[in-house]
Amino acid sequence: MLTFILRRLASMLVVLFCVITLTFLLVRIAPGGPFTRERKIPPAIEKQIMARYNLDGTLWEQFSTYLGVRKNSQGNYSGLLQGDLQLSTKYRDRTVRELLAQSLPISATLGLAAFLIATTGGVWLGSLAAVRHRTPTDTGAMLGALFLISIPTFVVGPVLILIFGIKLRVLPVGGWNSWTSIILPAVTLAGPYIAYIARLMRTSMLEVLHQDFVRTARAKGLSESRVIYQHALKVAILPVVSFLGPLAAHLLTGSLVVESIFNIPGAGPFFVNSILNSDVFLLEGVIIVYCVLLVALNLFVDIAYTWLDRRIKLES
Amino acid sequence: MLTANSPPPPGTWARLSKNPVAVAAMVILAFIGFMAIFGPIIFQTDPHTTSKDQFQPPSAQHFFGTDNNGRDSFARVLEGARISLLVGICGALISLVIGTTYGLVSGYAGGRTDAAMMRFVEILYSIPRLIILILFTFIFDKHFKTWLTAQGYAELVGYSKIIILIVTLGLIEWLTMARIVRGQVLALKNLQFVTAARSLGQSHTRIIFRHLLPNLGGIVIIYLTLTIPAVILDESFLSFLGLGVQAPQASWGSLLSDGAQVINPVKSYWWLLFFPALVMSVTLLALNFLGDAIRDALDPRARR
Repeated sequence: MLTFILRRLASMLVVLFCVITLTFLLVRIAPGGPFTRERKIPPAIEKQIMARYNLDGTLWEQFSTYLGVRKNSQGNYSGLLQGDLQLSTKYRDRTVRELLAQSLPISATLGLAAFLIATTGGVWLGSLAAVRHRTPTDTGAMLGALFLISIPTFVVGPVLILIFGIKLRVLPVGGWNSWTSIILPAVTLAGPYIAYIARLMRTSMLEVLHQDFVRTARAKGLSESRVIYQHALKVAILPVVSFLGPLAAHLLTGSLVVESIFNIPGAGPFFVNSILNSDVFLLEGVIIVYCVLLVALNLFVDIAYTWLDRRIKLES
Repeated sequence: MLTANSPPPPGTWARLSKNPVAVAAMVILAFIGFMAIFGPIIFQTDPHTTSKDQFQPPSAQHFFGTDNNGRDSFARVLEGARISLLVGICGALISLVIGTTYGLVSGYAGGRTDAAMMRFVEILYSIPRLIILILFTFIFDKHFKTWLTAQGYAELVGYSKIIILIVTLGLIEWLTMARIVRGQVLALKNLQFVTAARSLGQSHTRIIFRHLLPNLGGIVIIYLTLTIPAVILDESFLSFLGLGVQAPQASWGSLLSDGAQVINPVKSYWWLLFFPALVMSVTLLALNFLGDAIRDALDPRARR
């Protein structure tokens, strides 16, 4: 188990390094510099600004400064290794770290809420459909799931706003003021993934319900709910666990749209705006922080999966 | 499970045409495809003509109403259908070629190569691909435009974003296909007909292309049907954020984005959101239903 974790950690570092390099290169070959304006800046001033932001020098020099293995224009080491994400070139005098520290917790809360809704909702709906196999409940649940997968979040979001925010006036239409303002965006974001997980869960539960250990549990005279929710669920949930990594990635990207629909001051708008403004450091910062989060989450899911899987193998 | 160790079981088409859901889905898709191609000719509408009739509700003259520039919304939805379907189908085809090749090679090679290749897929699954995709389209669009002009294809410049979108979406949506194909190849390659081919001294290329590939037909069709809606969704996601198709061109995503902006408590121009949403959702639903139905028809025993 320990070697497994260490191996995964090593591969995680390699992945992160690749992502950082790729992001850095892509952002630097993007058209239009951060200080390209309609009005031309005098070359001398432009040179100074570029030096201030460590945007002068060769690509290699810039990269090593950004990583923090080379002294910057202030004469110290301050890069990714030191936890410094540089200054935003658009929001003057604010560091990327400040901007992300403000917005990321909001995105993370939204993502976590959606994650909880998607997993509990999906597992419940999928198991229910499997247990009531070939009944109207099953058909209805799977039809509903297909609808949820097919209707994009940016349709569901405005419709929910229209119903609950404007017509019924029971929930806020957007913003991030009270705990009630999290409900609509989280449900919107979770919608398609409730459906994905429900479909995964139903298939795997149907397979598990035919296995010997379930029959044994029934033969022991356990109540049906104990058979399903204690014995079968433990095994049937494995495919769902392996979907959690991709799920986190989907929720992160999905929250870009949901944040823009509901006017939530999360990290999503920074991402889109920094591309449009060529705000190089903010863009690199957002992508790198997202990837670090995701890769770490995936490592966690991997470990959890292996542990669960091993326990099941040992038990059976 | 009945794996595709034989060509699609006889009667697949018969089973599919007996499934009312599948037939309905095919009829709807045919209708939407027909309207996307011939609609603008039949109804003589132009999606880019502006007029003074702003925000007109649906009427006999403007079936889907008009937008903030007085453009006919029906014509815009038809143009959106053309672009969204084009991107969806072409993107899915590219991902199909990449995914099938990758899965075939991985599954056929087996052992360490297979493990490494599948680990790479897992890694790609876990990075936010859409974010990298947005970066890609943004960066290469301008370079591609300059290149097109330099090559003397100036008339194509207006379509450069669409071309870039198709290629990059194809480049990121192949992962599931690769996994599925690999699984199928693993099941197939130990069957007797492959052993027979190998003992006859046939080359790997020949075994892959003559024996394995034809047997993947069913599974590939299923996932092609399911990849098209995924690509359409991805494209509309980008256009919704304002990073996809450029105005005045429209895709379903950019129409929905415009529609969502005019939803407010004071006055809602619901038709600008409702009709694009309806057409897009119906298309995606039909594709997803059809994919499921083909799966059931190809593999009756897997149906539960």
